[in-house]
Amino acid sequence: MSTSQKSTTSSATASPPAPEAPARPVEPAPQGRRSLVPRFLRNPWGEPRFLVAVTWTYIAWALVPVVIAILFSFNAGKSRSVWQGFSTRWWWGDPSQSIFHDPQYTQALVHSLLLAGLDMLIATPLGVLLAVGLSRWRGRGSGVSNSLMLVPLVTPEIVMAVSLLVVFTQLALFPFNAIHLGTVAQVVGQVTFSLSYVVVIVRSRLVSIGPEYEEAARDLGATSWAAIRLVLLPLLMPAILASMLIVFALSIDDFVVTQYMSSTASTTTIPMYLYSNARGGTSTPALNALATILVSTTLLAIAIGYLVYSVLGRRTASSHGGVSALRDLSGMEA
Amino acid sequence: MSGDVQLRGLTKRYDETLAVDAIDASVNAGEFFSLLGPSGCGKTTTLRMIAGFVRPTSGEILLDGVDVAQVPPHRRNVHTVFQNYALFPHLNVFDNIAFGLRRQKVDKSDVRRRVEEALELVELGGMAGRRPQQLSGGQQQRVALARALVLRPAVLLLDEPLGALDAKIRKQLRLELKALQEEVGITFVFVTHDQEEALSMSDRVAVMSNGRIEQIGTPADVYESPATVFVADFLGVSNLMDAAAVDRGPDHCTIAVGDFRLRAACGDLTASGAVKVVARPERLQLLEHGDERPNCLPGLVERTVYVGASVQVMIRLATGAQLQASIANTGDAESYQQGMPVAVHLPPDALRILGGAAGPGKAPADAATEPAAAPA
Repeated sequence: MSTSQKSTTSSATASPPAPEAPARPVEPAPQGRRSLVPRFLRNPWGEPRFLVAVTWTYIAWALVPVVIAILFSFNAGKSRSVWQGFSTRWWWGDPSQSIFHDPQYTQALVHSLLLAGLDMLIATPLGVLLAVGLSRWRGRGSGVSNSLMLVPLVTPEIVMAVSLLVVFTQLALFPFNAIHLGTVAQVVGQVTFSLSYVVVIVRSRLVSIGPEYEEAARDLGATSWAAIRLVLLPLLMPAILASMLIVFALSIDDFVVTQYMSSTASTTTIPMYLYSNARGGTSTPALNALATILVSTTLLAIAIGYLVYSVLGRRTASSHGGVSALRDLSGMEA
Repeated sequence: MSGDVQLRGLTKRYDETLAVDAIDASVNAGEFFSLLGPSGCGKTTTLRMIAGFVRPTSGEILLDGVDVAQVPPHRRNVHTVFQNYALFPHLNVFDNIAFGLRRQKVDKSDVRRRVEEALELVELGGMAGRRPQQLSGGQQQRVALARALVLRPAVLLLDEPLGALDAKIRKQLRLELKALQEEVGITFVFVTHDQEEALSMSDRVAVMSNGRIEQIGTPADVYESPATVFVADFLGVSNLMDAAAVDRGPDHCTIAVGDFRLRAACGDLTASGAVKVVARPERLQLLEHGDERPNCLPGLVERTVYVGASVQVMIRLATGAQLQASIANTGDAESYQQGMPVAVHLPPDALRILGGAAGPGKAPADAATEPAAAPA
C-alpha cells in the first residue's frame, strides 16, 4: 500500500523524479521485494489512475441515488423502487395524482417559488448595500462587524431556526411580535441567513474592483451617488446577478428555517413536503418528480449564476480581474 | 491662462504619522511641475489632497487664488490621470471620455465633437468604439489623458502615469506628454519617483522627503546645485565625502579631505568646520597614477561596471572614501582594471560644499545601491 501511495502521490503532484529513479518510463520494483501493486499503477509519469478511480467512485456514490430517484419519477407503476416501464404519468399524465394536477403538489411548488423569489429580491439589494457599506466603514468596530457578518454562514441552521421561532412567537417586542409565522416569517428567516452569502460574494468583488474607479468618477465630476450608480453598480453587476441566483438556490433548497417558520399547510414548500411524505406508504413517484424539480431548479440557478458571473465578469474585468471572486463564489456553493 | 496652484502649510496627519508636513509650494499657470521623491515621501498624498480625495489636516490649497481645501473632488476644476488609469471597463473609449462631459450636462452634439477632438489630440482617432481592455498600455494611458483633458481642467494631476508601462514606451511617452502639455498649455502636476522622468519633462521639480519639500527648482538647479544631501543623493550618485573647510578665498574654499587639500568652488563657500562635499560621477576625471595636478586624490580601482554608454568606475581613495566616476565609453572601456592605481581629478567647479552642516542625510552607500538612479 505504501508503494502505491508513493507512486500515486508522486505522479499526482508531478514532482521531479527522485535522483535514484532511473530515467525509464516504468520504474522496476525494488530488488528483493515483490510489490503487490501492478506495474501499470506504479508509473510516476503516467496518469494518476488510483486517484482517478477514487474520484469516479465517489462521484458515482454521490450521484447514482439522485439519478435513480429522478429515473423513478418516470416509473409507469406506483412503486418507487421497482421499475415498471417508462411513463410521464406522475409528471402530468395522471389526472389527479401527477404533480401538475394534485393541488398539494402544485401548492408546494408555487409556495417554494414564491419564497425563493421574495428572498432573492429582498436579500440581494440589502446584501449589496451592506457589502458596500462595510467596505467603506473604516472606524472602530468595522473589523469586528466584518467578521461577525460571517457568523450566520457557520451558525448551525437549526440553532438559527429555533432562535427565530422563539423571538417571533415569545417576544412581545416591536419588530419581533409583528412577524407572524407563515409566509412573512419564512421570508424573514430565509433573508436572515442568505444575506451573508450576498455580502461575501459582493464584498469579494468590491475588493477586486478597488476604490480607483469610484475615485475616477468623482474626479470627473460625479457626485458620490452618481459614482455608485454609474460606475460601481455596473462593475458589481456580475456579483449581484450571481448573488441573486445563489440566494434563489439557497431558498429553494432550504428546509430547516422554512419548516420552523411555517404555519398552515398553505406554507408548505417542496422540501417540507418531501420530508413529511418520504417515509409514508402512500407516496407515489410524483414525489420523485417533485424532487427532480427541486434538483433541476437549484442546478439551473447555480449554472446560470456561474455563467453570468464569468461572462459578465470577464467582459468588465480590469487588470485585476474577478477570478478571486469567482473562486469565492464556487466555495460558496459547496 | 489660469491654473496656478499654491500650497500653504499643507499638512496631512494619519494618527501618529505626518504624511505631509506643512509644505509650501507655488505652481505657476501652464507649468509642468513635478513632485519627485522616494515612495512614502508624501508626494502622492499631496497630489491626492490637490485632487480632493484626501482631506488636509490643515493648510490651504489655493487654486487660482481660491482655497479649495474643503471642496469635494467633483466640484474642483482639477482632474487626475491615475496610476493604473482607472478607465471604466464597462464603457468603451468614447463613453469613458464623455463621462465627465455628461456629468456637466454638456449638449449631446458638443459631447461628440469634444470627445472626437480629444481623441485626435492623443492620436487615438478611430478607437472610440473599443473597450479599454482591448487597448495596449500606452493607448490606455492616452485615453486616460483624453478623459481628463476633455474637461479643460485648470490643473491636470498625473500620478505616476508612466509607471505601468515598459521602458521603451515610457521614454517615448515622456516626450509626447511634454509636447502635449506645451500644446494644451494646462498646468501639469506630475508625481514620480523616477528622477530621469522628472528632470526630462519638468519646468520645475520639487524634491520631497519625509513629508517635506527639500528643494524646488528647475531640473538643472536641483541636479547641479542640490541644496541638501538628500537631494544630491536622490538625484543620481552624489559621491558624498566628509571634509573640513580650512581656508576661505574670494571665489573658492579650501577643504581638507584626509591629508589632502582641495579647492571647491561651488555651494556654500562660507562654511567652516566639518562639511559634506559632493561631486557628480560624470564630472570626475581619472588620470594616471602620480599625476601632480592640484585637486587630485590618489586611489585604487575597486570595480568597474559596464553600462553601455558609459563605464562606472568605483574608486577607493587613499582616505578610505569611495567615489564613483562615470567615464564616457569611447572604446577603451577595458582600460580600468581592478586594483589599478589612479589619480582622481576633482575640478573645483565640480566640488560642491553643502551648507547647513549638511543635515541628517542618508549615508552615501545607500545611493550607490541604486544604480538606476544615475542619469547617464
